[in-house]
Amino acid sequence: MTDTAPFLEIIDLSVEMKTETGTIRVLDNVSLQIRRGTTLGIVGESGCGKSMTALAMMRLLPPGFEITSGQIILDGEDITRASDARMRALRGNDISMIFQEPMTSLNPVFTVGDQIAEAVRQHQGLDKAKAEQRAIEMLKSVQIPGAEARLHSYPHEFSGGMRQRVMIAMALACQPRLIIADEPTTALDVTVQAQIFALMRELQEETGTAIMLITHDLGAVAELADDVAVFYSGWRIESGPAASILRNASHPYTSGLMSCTPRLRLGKAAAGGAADLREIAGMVPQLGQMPQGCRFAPRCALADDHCRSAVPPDVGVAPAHSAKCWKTEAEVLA
Amino acid sequence: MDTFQRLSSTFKRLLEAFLLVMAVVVLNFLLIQLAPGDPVEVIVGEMGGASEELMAQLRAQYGLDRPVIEQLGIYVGKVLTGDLGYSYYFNTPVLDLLLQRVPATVLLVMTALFLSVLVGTIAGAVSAKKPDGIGSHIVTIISLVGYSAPVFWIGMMLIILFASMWPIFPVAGMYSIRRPDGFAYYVDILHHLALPAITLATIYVAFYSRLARTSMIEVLGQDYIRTARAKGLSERKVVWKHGLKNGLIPIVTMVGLQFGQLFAGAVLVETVFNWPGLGRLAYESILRRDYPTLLGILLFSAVLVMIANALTDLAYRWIDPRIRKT
Ligand SMILES: Nc1ncnc2c1ncn2[C@@H]1O[C@H](COP(=O)(O)OP(=O)(O)OP(=O)(O)O)[C@@H](O)[C@H]1O
Ligand SMILES: [Mg+2]
Repeated sequence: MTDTAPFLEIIDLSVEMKTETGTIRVLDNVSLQIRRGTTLGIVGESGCGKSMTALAMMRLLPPGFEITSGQIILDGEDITRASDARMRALRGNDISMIFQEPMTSLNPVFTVGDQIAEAVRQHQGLDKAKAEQRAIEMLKSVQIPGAEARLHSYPHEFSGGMRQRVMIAMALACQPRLIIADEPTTALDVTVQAQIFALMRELQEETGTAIMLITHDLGAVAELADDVAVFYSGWRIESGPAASILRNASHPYTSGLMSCTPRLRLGKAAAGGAADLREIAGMVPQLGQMPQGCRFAPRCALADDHCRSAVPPDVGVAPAHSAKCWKTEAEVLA
Repeated sequence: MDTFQRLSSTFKRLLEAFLLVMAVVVLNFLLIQLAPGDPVEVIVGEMGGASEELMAQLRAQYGLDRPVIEQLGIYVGKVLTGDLGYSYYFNTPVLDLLLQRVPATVLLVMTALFLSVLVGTIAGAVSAKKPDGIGSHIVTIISLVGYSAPVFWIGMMLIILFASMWPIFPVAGMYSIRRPDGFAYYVDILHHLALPAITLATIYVAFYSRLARTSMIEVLGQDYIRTARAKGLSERKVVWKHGLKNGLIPIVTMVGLQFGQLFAGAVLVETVFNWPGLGRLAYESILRRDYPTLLGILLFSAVLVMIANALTDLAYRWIDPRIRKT
């Protein structure tokens, strides 16, 4: 395998949820790649399947959800159907996840030191004292003041931002090669968001870990991401290098997002700037009642009958940059 | 300053407990005055009848001829000096009588409590792992039966099954007639303890398994459980470490609240199994109109419940760090 081979590759992944009335497809043939040591930003409106993608990668889909087709390949290993034991060896060790809700994602009845040390003891078999030492190092690396003393504190004694730092320390404790950060700053206030993003970038430079950053914050994407994947209602509708997408958004949905945040057009945005996804006119279709053709067609100014009747293909628009749109192809050909 | 605060809060609690106990004493005393039946008549009945003079003499001896308020004052005054009076029936100090009986009851109640919390929690947690699985339904049904069956019925059934039809346990009592020595003595007590403890535990097993099931289902859906899984922990650690310690919080709360009921249950079980504890003594004292003994038992139960609550409080603090600060 060459160095340019993606560290993580998702190929045509579909996830379905069984309900009493039938199955609902929450992810439909999603493909994406994360290169070693780089950051992939994932953006899209609420409910488009970002978290489901992340949980599918961890093989921690909630009960009722199931991977029905496609592959997840981690460093050359197909983990789509890997055993529970294999997944446990990978989780927290090779792939870690930071969740959206720092207030509820830590166990209230154990000290943060125990919770960090636990991951190290699980995967590296360190003894109690060594694991504790490692936990102190980790707390220091996420810049929690007074790490030695804080080791024995409980989650409720930390602020939201500090708790998220603890989560990051926990996720990084075993030096994973991929961290999935699912909206790590959504629950935090703006200044803290900027700190957390700065911290993540610093840690990435130190450890060379790859990051999958799920966010609503296009400013953060511009700042941190090497590549971007845009999701819409269970589809990955555009993906490519961040620079290419920000400069040259090719899906009408993506360019809609961009024009909502005009500063990005200049290719500059302060991390933590208030450049969130804004409303695009119209509603996301209900997952149960998808339009026949392009899922974005009902909200798309460019849509015609063809868009409404046939599912668009993935169209290459620039090196490594593609968009799932009939109109994009027309544009490029013209 | 911290120590001072802690001391003063401990003192406050002790004072509260003391006032509560005194309230219990007064209330029980007054309640018993309302109860029908005359102790002297019962005593005389046991003696095979007596003259009016003797009855009057007995009344005077026990102070029953004085006004209720005066009797109450005398009783409270004595209780404050640690004197619980004399049993009408046994003619021994009530305190001695109670101290003799307390260990048996504490042994029975604690064993039953331990059994029911342990079995109930495990059953509840196991069924919470798969709320729709067969195991879960079995636990639900068993706990429904256990919950609705009367204690004495369960006791009778166990006696019929395991002491009579298949006699692996003694029918009643706490010791064999010939008490063995040394280690065998304790084994003998445990052997006698089994059926009454299981009987008393049954209703609470049912109760705690339902509570644990609800509590664990909720806990296992929490975000921190997902975090534990995302760390790569085994399902065993996720459920029994990260889940259970949180799931125990409502259970510990209930243990504290239910302690009083457990004593009430002990009255029935001790009577059915002839277990020489406070409960059976309470039942017998009522029949004998042995009010000093009955009052003493009620007082003791109140104190025991309070001690139990204090212990629960400690356990609660140990489990849930969020309330440790107060
Ligand atoms: N527990 C659940 N039960 C039923 N449906 C769910 C559940 N969790 C998610 N879904 C559905 O699955 C779809 C994908 O959800 P997902 O959580 O991946 O969205 P998301 O892109 O992460 O959104 P957000 O930005 O709000 O986090 C949504 O339509 C959502 O309604
Ligand atoms: Mg999400």
